[in-house]
Amino acid sequence: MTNRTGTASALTLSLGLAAALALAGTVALGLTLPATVEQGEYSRLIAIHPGLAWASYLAFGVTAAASALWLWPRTRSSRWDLLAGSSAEIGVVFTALTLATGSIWGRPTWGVWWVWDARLTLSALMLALYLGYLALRRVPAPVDVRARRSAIAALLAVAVVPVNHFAVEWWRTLHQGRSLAQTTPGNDLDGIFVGVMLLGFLAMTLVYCWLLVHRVRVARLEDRLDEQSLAVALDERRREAVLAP
Amino acid sequence: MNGYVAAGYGITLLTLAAYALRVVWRGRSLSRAASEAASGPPVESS
Repeated sequence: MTNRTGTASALTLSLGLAAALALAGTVALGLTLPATVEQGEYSRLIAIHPGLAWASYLAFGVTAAASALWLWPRTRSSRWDLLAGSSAEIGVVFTALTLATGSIWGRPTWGVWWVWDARLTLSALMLALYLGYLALRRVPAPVDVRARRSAIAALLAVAVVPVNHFAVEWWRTLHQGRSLAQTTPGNDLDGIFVGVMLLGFLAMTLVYCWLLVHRVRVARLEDRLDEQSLAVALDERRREAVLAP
Repeated sequence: MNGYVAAGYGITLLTLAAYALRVVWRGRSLSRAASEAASGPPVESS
């Protein structure tokens, strides 16, 4: 007989191991990348920064897809609502890290920690929108009401993701072009940098998936405990009513 | 190693580790609470 406690399972163990290996490889290779003529050692941040940004897009994309599935009557299920909320929370962590690492990269290469450039401003707006989404989920309301308004908010907020992604092409910005565009032949990014950057994308995707499985299970446990405590409270109230003269 | 590069990697790894630990610990404590609630209140001995 197994005595499983917490949210771990064979799936999370496999995912966690793969994520840890990919992340360790990204860090090891990223920190040994050669210094470039333009940026010196700072270019080593390419191993983690674009991967973090990708993981935040992925997280908010999953939030939007799960929200749409909740809103669609045929697929409506509380699991989509829990998935949407869990993914948004992880997305906020990745967005905050994208902003932090971008700022750290920007200081020595641009000379400033922050500039109100389109990409940076939209990333900050994305963070604010999803923090608002998480706050909205905490507003007390019946489960269905909470799920409906959260789903609508998620579908509105996700509009900022593609705008943010293409901001570097649509507006003149200090930020470099899209990282994925650097992987095509004829670009000015050396092969080793492309390889390590793609490994960073894989590592952050695996970390996101591992966190998501755990976070969804935590959300399910929270819901189950809420239901149990509500049932206990109703039972006590009924007993009081019977005992009252 | 360059300080900015170390800071970038350090903040990323520490934040991800801290968030992961928080989620896993919360899962463990909720799982314990759920199994205690399911087994019911302790029986009082007279």
